Amino acid sequence: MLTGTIYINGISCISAQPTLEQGIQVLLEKNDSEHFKCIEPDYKIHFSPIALRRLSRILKFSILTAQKSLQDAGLDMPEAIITGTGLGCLEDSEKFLLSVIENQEENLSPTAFIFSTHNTISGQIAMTLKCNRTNNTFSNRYFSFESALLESILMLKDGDAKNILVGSTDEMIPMIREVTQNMGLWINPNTGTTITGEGACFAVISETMTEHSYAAILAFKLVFKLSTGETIQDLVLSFLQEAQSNIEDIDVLISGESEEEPQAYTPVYQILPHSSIITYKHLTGEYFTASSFAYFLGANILKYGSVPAHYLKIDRMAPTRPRKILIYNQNKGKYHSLALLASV
Amino acid sequence: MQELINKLKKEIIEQLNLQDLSPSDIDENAPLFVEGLGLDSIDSLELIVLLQRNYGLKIAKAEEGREVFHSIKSMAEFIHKNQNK
Repeated sequence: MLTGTIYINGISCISAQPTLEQGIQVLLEKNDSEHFKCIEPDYKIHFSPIALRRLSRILKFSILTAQKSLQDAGLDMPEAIITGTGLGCLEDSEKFLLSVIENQEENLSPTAFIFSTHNTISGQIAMTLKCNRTNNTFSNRYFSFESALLESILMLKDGDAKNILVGSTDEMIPMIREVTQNMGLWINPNTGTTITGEGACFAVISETMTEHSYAAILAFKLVFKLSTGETIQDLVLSFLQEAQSNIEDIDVLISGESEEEPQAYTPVYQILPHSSIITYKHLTGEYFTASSFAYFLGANILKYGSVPAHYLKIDRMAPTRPRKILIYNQNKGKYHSLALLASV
Repeated sequence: MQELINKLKKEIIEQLNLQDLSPSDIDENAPLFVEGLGLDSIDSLELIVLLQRNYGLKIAKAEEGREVFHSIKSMAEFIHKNQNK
């Protein structure tokens, strides 16, 4: 469990919602019959043709989101770039593996190989920014983004950096969607509908508050599996206690509830009867780093002081001026992550 | 030779994903790297693969590579000279 105060000083997100340009206030319904596809801008406005020719979709939207979060924070150069990704550069990985088959393992294109590796994302952001400091990437299933955030917070606390660009990114391709479908992953069990999504979210975090600050992260905790006999209610209550908060302080709970397991979060809703509850996966889809969207939502709600109705669970009221937000995500009883955000 | 130059231009456009260029946009005498097409070190690896895969030719020494990859024309001359050896 980490406690202290870390500020989110800039944030940007690309998702199946128009978040890159319009924040969280505008709603679009599921925009693709197959999955929640990112709403992407015209990249030609943002990249030179020579840069564009090599960049796959995930690299384009990751670099752009990273750049926008830096602009949002009024910062030119971070001291570290830490990214989390569940599946990395799928498009380039597929391209490379197909070329291995087509060319019978000989004379393979180096570009597809270089761009298929997970750390290409942080590396390409670093090259675009001309940032020579630390960059690395965490790939840890549903903890990929959280691992990147944990590393970033620890670096800030150790004094290794003052401003860190931390983010998450994942893309979906038809072949992997077929694989996840065959595995029964990211499917609404009642309707059989695919709920796969994709997106990127980058933020600048620091121990210093600025005029750009959105919110503060007061506490952060990751628990892979609960102890024997421990319930998620125990987990949430002990987290709040360690964070020196109580259930009455929580104006909003941002929940990782998904169509895949709609009842999984009910015990947490029960112990927070007065909090507004926000869900987001019905608008972004499910992917390994979808939880980062919760931080984007939380930061925006605390900065601008309102909760858009389309994220609000219908049986709960919207708070007038939220001050504290609890973010809780898990997946099938594992990968529990909790964060306490406060307005600044 | 001109036929080979045109073929090479098309192959380079495809291999390096130069989407906005057509063969007529490329000057076969212009330097491929830094100036001209503005290619970089990753592109040089792609060109080595292209020569090997499409023409069965290998660049033995780095010095030779510098001469061969100076321009499209120098690449075509290298292919013409070595392909049927």
